[in-house]
Amino acid sequence: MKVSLYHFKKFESNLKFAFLAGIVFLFTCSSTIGQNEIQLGINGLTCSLCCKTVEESIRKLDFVEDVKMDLINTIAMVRIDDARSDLDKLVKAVGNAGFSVRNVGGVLQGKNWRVADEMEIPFGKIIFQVLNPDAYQENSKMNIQYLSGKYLTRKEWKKISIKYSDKKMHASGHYILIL
Amino acid sequence: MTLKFSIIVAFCCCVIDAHGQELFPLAESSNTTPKGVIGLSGFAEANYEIKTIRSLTGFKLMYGLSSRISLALSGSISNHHARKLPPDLISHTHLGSTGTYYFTNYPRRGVSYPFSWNGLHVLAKWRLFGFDGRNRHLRCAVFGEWSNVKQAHDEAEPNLLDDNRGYGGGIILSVLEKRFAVSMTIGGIIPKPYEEVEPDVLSGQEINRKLVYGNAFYYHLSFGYLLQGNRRNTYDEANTSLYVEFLGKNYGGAQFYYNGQLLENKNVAFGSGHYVEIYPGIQRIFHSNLRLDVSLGFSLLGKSYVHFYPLYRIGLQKYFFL
Repeated sequence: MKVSLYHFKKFESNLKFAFLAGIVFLFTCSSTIGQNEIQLGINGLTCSLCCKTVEESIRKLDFVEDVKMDLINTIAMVRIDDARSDLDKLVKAVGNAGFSVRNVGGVLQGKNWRVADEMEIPFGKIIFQVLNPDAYQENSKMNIQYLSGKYLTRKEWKKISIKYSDKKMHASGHYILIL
Repeated sequence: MTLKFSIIVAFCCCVIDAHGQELFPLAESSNTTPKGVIGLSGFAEANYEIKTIRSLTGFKLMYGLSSRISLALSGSISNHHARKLPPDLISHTHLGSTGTYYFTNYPRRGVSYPFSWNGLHVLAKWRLFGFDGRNRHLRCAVFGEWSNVKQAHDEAEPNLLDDNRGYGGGIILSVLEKRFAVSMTIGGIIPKPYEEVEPDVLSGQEINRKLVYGNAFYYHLSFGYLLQGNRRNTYDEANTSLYVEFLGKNYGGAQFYYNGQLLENKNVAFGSGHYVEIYPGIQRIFHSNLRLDVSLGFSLLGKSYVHFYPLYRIGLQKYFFL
């Protein structure tokens, strides 16, 4: 009888551990950024016809819900379905319209993510590595910049990759810089 | 001094944080049509040739194949040509017992010709590189063109859109800095000869008449300035831009073959030439898509024998986002 109770308590303890581990796993691995607005700084835009062309090109993407162009500051505010989003496609859509992206920005909501040296955050179909996890703030909104060789000019990319040379950044990789 | 300084300050205030555009009414832009987008353009030009109005009406269908490559198909109708080369293009003198001496003659001007379909013109453009900045860019594109136009064009100067079949190509470099845009195009045309067969009035035998055109080298220098627009964050605000375009062309002389025999040229329009034209123009873009261009061409240096001056031109263009 004692043996059975002992085994039951051990089983209960293991169950609790498994449940807690499951919750931790959910927060660390399966969460996404959860933000649905991306700010694209676009270079080469010189008139409202250019802006319209970029807007129409972005709107064609199936994960894009809305686009608002700021003609004066040459910025596109893109509302997306973050589960299906693909930032590479978004940047490519700007290129297809004949223009180039100067930066990709957004807001990151802190959600119990694992803060480690190699902090990785999945966003849509892409996993981003956080370059400066020390700047991460739990339960608060942080302005971030998405970085990749595809999202920046060659000069800007070179500057960033030298600054974070310890991260061994690749132009084809995806990174987040908390601002 | 104070007034001069105030004017400079006021001018600078207008320029700061403004945007320009480089959608030149005449010169080909270094920008390509966006990928998957169809552009449709209609244009017309006219000039008085003595008492006859010479006019051309055409269309241009554009499509963006990729982010860097676009195609354009153009077609036009005009009353620039007779169905055959003008009969008074050749003159002759009888040399007694040695036969007849034929030579080319300057044909009459102001003759009424019927409107006819000129043919198709295809232009492929590839944007080589671009350095984009905020409200500025430098872009370079190369283009190739081909035309199947087969008109009885009776001047040496070749034009692929409406006068000659053949091919050509060139390079475009454009720079935009805030409200100002500058573009330079350098290109060449290699026209193919025009050939026709005409029955001889007396003998009834077929006579071959062949006109071989000289190659051409041309250069365009265009300046644009955004006069009004892009001050508010809306697509409904109309943009107005002013343009001045300089179109220069250098072409070789034409050779006329009469039944395989090269005739002596006494026709000034068959000689080689060089000219520069100036086209002031205004452009209005409605709802950020519908573009209206109006320009007027004058001779600046030399003259073209293809048209008289002034040359009135109007164009309308719209993009269709599929």
